[in-house]
Amino acid sequence: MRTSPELRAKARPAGDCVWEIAPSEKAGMRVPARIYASEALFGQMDDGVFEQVTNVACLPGIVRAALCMPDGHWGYGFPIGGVAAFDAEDGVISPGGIGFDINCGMRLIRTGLSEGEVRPHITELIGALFEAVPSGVGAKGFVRLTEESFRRVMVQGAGWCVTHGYGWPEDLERMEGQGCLPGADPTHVSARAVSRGIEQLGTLGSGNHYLEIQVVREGGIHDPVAARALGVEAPGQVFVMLHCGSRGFGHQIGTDYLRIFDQAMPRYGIRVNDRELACAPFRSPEGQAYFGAMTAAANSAFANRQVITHRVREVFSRIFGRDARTLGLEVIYDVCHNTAKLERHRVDGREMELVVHRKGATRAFGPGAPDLPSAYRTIGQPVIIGGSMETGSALLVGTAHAMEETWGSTAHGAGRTMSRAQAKKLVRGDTLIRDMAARGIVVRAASKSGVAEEAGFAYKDLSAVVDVLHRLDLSRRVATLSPIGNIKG
Amino acid sequence: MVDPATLSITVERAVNIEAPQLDLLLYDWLSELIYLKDRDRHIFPVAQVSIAGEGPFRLEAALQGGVIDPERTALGADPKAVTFHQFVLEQTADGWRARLVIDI
Repeated sequence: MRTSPELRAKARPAGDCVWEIAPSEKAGMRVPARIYASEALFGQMDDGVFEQVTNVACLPGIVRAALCMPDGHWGYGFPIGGVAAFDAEDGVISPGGIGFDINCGMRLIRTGLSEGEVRPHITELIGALFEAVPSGVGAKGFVRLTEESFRRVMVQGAGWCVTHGYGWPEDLERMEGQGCLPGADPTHVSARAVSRGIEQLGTLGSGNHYLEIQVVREGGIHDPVAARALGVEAPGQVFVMLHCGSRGFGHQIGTDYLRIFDQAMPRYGIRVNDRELACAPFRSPEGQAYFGAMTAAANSAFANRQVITHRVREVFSRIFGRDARTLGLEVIYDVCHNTAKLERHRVDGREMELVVHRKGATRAFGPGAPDLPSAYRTIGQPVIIGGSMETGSALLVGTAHAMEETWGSTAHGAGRTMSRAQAKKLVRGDTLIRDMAARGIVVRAASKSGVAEEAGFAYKDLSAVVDVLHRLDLSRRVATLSPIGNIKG
Repeated sequence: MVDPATLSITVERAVNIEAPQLDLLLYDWLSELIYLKDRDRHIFPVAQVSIAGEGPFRLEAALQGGVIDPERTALGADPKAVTFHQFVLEQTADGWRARLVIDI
C-alpha cells in the first residue's frame, strides 16, 4: 500500500479543526473522507492515515463520509481512530474496521479513597493487583469455564459474571449496552477460538493494555456538575482504570474471518484497495456469521473487564480492611472502542439502520440516549479516553452534536507518534520504571521492553486531542485523571 | 514473544496445514504458532518445515519448543494475529521474499 504524502496534500480545511478529502481525489471513493484535527495534530498524523481513510471511503454501502478522529494514526485496514457507517441493507461489514482485539475498551471505577489514604499503600497495592490480574504472554485467568459455560459468557457478557458472583447487579447499567450486545451467536465461533480463549477470562493482555490507579488533581475537574453526577467528587479522589479486551478469543475470531472474507469477496464482486479491508455484505451468510461471532467476542470482553473489576475489589478490600462497597468501588462506566454495532441514526432526514464501525474510536452518545442509566441521562454517555502511562487520561461525556456529526463517536486515546520499535530505541524499560517511580508513579510490568514501548513521548499530547473534541462539541471535557500506579502486560 | 534462551526445550509437535494459495499457507502457518502460544502456552524456537504441492499447497513442520514459565521465561511482545497489512509473498531470483506485519 502506498504511504505517499499526496493524499495529505489533498485534504482541504472544511471548518475549524475539520479537513476533507473529496471523492474526486482518489478513484473509487464513494463519499468524502473527513478528518477531525487541529493543524498540529493533522501535521503529526502518519501519511498512512490519509491513504487508509480514503480506502474506507471506497467500501460498498458507506454512508455520508469516512471519518478519522483527532487521535488518528496508521492502523491495519482502517486507521486507528476510524469511524464508518454502512447501510445495513446493502453495505458491508469488515473485520479491518474493528480490529483483532474485538471490544478492546475502557472501564473506570471510582473509589471513596483519597490519595493521602492510598499513597502509603501504593507499592503493596500495585504488587497485589499484579498478582491478582495476570498479564503478559501466556497468562491464564482464575475463572474455570467449561465450553458450555463459555458459550453462556459469549451470549450474556458481563451479566454472566454478576450472576456467578463476580460483581454487583448495579454494575451492569453502567456499561455500554449493559455489558451485553445483542446478536451474539456462538454457533459461528470456531473451536479454535474457544480453545484459545477459554482459560483467559480475567487476564489483562499485553501491548498497550493496563490497569491503572489514578487521582484527580487540583484543577482536574473541568465540569463540576457532570463530574459529580459521574461520581468524581473532589481533587485527591482515587480511581481505577482498565484498558483491555477479548484477548486470544477475539484475536482468533478476527483471524478466522479475515481469511474467510478474503476468499469470499470475489463471490460478491467486491474489490478493496487494501487486503486488510476484506469484507462481505452485512446481510450475506458470511457477514451475519462474522457479526454473530464478533459480538460473542465483544461480550466476552465485557466479561473480562467485569471479572478483573471483581479482583480489583477483592484486593482493595484486603489492603484497606474494609469491604468494597464501603470503599465506594463503583463502576463509573465501561465503553468499547473496537466494535461494529447495528444502530439507528438519522440520515438526510430519515432514520436508517447502520452498521457503525468504530476502530480505536469510542461511542459518545449524547444526553437522552436510551441505554444510559437514569443518573447520566441528562449529561450524556461517559467517554473514557486513555492517555499514556506517564501522562494520564480523560473523562468526557457524549453530545447531541456527535450524534449528528460522527454517528455518536469520538476519539479513544492519545494516538501514537512513533512505532514501538522506535520508542524502545530511545529508552530502556527498567530506566523508565525508575524515572516514573521518582515522579510518584509505581509500575509493575510482565515485560520490561513493553514498558519502553508505552513511554509518554511515544504518544501525542492527550490534552491536544481532548481540546479538539471539546471545541468541535464531539464530546465535553469533564475531568483529567493522573496516574500514581500502573500494571502493564 | 519470549527470549528463547529463557525457555527449556521440552515439547515436540508436528503441524500439518493445507491451503489453496501459497500466501494463505504462510498466513495459516504463522497463525498456528500464535494459536499454540495462547492455547497451550507453547513457544517453538526450532522448526523444520517442508512445503509441497502446486495448489492446494501442503506444509509439514516438526517443531521443538517449550512451555512459558512465568517464573523463568523473559516475556516480550504478545502477538495477536497475522495481518494482511502490506502482506507480500513473492518469488525472486534468489528464492522467496515475504513481508508480514504482526499485530501485537
